[in-house]
Amino acid sequence: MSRTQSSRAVDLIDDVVVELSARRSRTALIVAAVALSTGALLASLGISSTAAQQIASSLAASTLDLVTVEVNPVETSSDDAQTATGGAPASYFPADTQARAESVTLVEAAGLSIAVDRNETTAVRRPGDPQEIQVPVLGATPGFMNANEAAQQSTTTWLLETDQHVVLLGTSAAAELSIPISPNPTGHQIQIGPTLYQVIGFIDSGRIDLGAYAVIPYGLAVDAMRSDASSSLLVRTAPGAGAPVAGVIRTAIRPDQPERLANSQVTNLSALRQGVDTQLGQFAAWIGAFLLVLTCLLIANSMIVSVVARTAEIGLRRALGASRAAVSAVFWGEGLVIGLVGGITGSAVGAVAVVAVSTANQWTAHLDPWTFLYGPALGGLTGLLASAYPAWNVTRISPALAVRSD
Amino acid sequence: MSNVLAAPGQPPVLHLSEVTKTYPTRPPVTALTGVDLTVHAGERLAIVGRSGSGKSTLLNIVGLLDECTSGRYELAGQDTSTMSATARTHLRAQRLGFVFQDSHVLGHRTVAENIGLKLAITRTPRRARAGQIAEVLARVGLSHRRDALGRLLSGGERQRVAIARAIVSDPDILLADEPTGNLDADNSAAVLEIFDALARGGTTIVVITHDLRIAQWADRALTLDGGRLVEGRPS
Repeated sequence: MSRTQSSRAVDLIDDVVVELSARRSRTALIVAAVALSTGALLASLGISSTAAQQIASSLAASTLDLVTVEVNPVETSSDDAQTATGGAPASYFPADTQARAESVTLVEAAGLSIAVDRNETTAVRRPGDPQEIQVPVLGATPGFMNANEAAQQSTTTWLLETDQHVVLLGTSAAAELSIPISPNPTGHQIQIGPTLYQVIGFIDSGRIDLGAYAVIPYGLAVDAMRSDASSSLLVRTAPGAGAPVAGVIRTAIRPDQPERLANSQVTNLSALRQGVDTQLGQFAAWIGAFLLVLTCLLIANSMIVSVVARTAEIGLRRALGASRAAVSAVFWGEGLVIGLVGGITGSAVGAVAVVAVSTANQWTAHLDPWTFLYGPALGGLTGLLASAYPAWNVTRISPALAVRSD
Repeated sequence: MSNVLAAPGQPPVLHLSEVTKTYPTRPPVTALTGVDLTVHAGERLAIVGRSGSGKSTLLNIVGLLDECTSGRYELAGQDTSTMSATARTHLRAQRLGFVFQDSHVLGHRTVAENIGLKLAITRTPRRARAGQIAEVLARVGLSHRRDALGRLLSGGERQRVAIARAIVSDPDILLADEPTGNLDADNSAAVLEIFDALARGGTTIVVITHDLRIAQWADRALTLDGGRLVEGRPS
């Protein structure tokens, strides 16, 4: 590079630096806007990839880690006939069913349960209290409670494996019975039918929601039902292992007669849907937040340029007798109008885009009517935020200098 | 030395006493030193001086666009030295009109809208504005240009719009900073004719200028030299 060329280059650099430095706030805003737009693009790529991974994980976890094993209905009907003629009650699940299930690779927990009164509710009340409520009663093993992953406030769940008259109360059932929920519910009893049960703890939610249940030891429930024909084995596997476990679990439990059992995979569609909705919503919210901040910066930058260009006008207004607040209000108002109009237009454009994309992909478009209020509100707020600095800047302009002719 | 120069027999509409203005630059610059000035209603006063003599500074202080560093300034009998910024702004809106060398007519607004800007600031009822605008346009001879955009006006027409805007709220004092600086002789004469008519109507005219013709035109002329007012027209 010749000396002349290098000199010109230095002069150019000098000019650029001087001009950018002369309007530092504007320069900073433009730089920030470019940074945000670039960041938004990269972030959208990254966040979409992450969200997709999360959704895939949710799918796997929600659909493929719970298996139930029940008695094959065909088998029970033939055994019922035998019982009716005086034969011994059928026992479909071996005594070591839980151990056999948990010995299967990828099984994390397993346990038996049986609904007393075949899923009807049972009258339950506090001793001495004539008022009773109807509560579904479930007999369950500690393994079932573990597999169900219910939130428990009890350290004595192991008592479910005994024949003692103890009960774990669901939190909503406890509330109906006016039994205070505490880690140590000593002294509280309930009456299920004619029998008193000692409350040993409380349970809530879980993969199968037990909040409304009364859970008693599995053995007592089977005795009450006189058979385990309606029992169910709940098996929780490692995420995504439901299908392979379902293929071998019956043989593991009843290698002699696996056909006496039937298994199915538990799919919690509600949780899956909620999970996907949440993750997609978070993804969209982050992208939207980026874009809104970017918009704010762009508006602010444009308004700062406007303030500079209208310095003489601002000085004139002040000379005519307008107060600082009155002149500032013009810029607040411009920002608000820009934001509102942009928000309304954006809502319309967004709605059209949703319908167009849905139509192109043969999806069913889903539009929230509140969007048409959120859009203008968000736009107006963005416009106001963007106006804050320019409007404040206006108040600092000296009218005496602003109206001077050079 | 006292710089009090007053025409007898009329109440002063503005009075400056020992006004000094120093700008806090490095080093500090004193634009006005010990200025005493009394102006009476209906007077045509010209303040002349070279560039940098402090003319614009004096106009800004008189126009309440700036504050003096020391001294006292009374406008229409009110001491502005102790006023809040809001009170000074209000007083400026009610009592003063401005005409600048650059007319500052907004090009994207019509003539009527430019004049209406002042009426909006003084919160004149909207239904009264059309009539007042029509009246001042007639006084400056621009009734036929009422709906013309500012950017389509000639230089002389713009200055007349600026005058109309300045007087539409009937101010006590019209302050003009080089009003003919950008105009040719014919337009300059037209502007002075308008000023004459205003003065006859009781409006005080204070013109800052380096144009000696205006100094000759005025009832009284003062010279600013190095921030100090001296008596008489420059030779």
